[in-house]
Amino acid sequence: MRSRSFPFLILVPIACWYVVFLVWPVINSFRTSFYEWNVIDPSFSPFIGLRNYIELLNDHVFIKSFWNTIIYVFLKTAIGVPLSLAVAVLLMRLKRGRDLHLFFIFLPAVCAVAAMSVLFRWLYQPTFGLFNTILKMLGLPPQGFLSDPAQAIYAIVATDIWQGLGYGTVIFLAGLMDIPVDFEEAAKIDGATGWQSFFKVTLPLLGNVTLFVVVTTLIGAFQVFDRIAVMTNQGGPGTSSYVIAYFIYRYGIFHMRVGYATAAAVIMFFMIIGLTLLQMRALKPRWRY
Amino acid sequence: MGFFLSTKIAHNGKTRLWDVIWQLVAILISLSMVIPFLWMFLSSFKSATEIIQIPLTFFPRKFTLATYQELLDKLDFGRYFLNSVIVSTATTLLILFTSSLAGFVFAKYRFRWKEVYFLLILSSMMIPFAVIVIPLYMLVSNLGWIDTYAGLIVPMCVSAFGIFLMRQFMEGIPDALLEAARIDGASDWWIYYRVILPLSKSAASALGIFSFMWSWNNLFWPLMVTMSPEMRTLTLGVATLQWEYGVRYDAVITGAAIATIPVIIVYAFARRNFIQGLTLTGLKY
Repeated sequence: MRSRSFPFLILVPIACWYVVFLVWPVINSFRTSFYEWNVIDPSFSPFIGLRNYIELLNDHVFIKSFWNTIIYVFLKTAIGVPLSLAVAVLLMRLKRGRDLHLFFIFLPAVCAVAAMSVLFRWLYQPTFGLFNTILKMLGLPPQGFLSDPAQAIYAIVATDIWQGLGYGTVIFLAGLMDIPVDFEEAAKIDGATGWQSFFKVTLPLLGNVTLFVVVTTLIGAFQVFDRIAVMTNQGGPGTSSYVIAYFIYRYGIFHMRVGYATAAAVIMFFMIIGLTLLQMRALKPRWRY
Repeated sequence: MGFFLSTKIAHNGKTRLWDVIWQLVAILISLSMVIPFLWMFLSSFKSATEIIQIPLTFFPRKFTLATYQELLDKLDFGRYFLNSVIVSTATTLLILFTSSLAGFVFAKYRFRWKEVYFLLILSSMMIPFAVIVIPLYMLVSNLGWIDTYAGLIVPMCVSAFGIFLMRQFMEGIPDALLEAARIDGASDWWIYYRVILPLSKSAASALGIFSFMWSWNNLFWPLMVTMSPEMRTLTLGVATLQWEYGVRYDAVITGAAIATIPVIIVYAFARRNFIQGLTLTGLKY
């Protein structure tokens, strides 16, 4: 007999876990953001209304974190996604060695961001790093990379694009393989060039897959933390590579300004909700094919 | 240029030329992925002085395991490794257990508000970890779990993504199989253990591999929840090495190599599962 209680026997403990380790922390983030939270004795935490938020909007470090996050998410998605699609199309064309190439291209994606950040920090090292050595060999001026406030965040997102390339490639490749050959054949018979058939036939058919890759890439890039924590000295040089997740960590843990940090967390929460709604609206017509 | 050259050859030859060009491009891309790793592994065998020498050497002039030894002896990288194994294994097993059970219930049972519950679980995937990290830290410290395995494992042991994946997969298992077992008087647990689990092996192994990798590579939470060096995971150990011994390039590079080797070994043996896992999730979205 199908027992009626079984689903609840399973779901009640899981629901409890969700309430304790997810819902409660989210509610607490909202609550503490209205207090000047006292870490040593929380009962001495004065309610200050929206003052944390007002201070945030006037805090140049937070504004910097905000824009850096936007730049980071934009570059990671706008460059990373088309690049992985291009690589997937390239791999589709290959007559041999596809699996081996895929193995190498996906390799960085399975490794820890922290370990790869350590590696790139060394490659970016201005005096004896590999990149500047190559630039010098080519007769080009050496760059500051991570030590240059104007370059740091771009140098960091570049490593993310490198490491994440294989993730999008694998998904796009699977999507491309799912498209029946007839469609492209038909386009060819109708006289479409390679580019036309790609943009008019293949790409629309990939809509669903593209949506998935874009959404997961956006959400992932939005949360960037490890790279900043490992590749920079406390978001430096200065505050030039702060992002929101790192801001929350620095202020909440190091400066012990819990209320202030959770106010930033609440802003991050609404940013991601806005981003999701925006995506749903922009991409909905292509949801199914 | 390619087209210009190829016009003189027959159609067949033209495609062959492009095959070569695409192959070369693919090789270049693969090399750009592999060279940083090669550089890291080769350099981990160099001495502390050779690694910062100008001009750079590609192959170590003298192979030495001194840095490995130093990290394992003085900095307890063996302990970090053990911690990572314990935490990642426990987290993965718990995620597999909870995801397969919840996936089973969502796929094969009917009850009120089912889709609402499911949607609530799904929407939790969207919440960035940084949003909850500080209250979660306060909660775990109130529970007295700072610097414990429980603190490292329990807050990470349910995965919305896992529940979603298992449900998607289990919906494909024919109801007739379950009904047959039920007529024979099988209990829910028996069906779960004897019918559902064996048939979900491919999804479960994909989820298992991803959970393990994710847990192994996680930095943010171990950084929050551990205080003493003995509780550090390998990934956190590498990050801490960078923060504390940043100028010792030989040490940090060797640390990164130590943290990366186990992942690459698992990947080399189970790459089908990695790739299948991604496609399972990506296409059934």
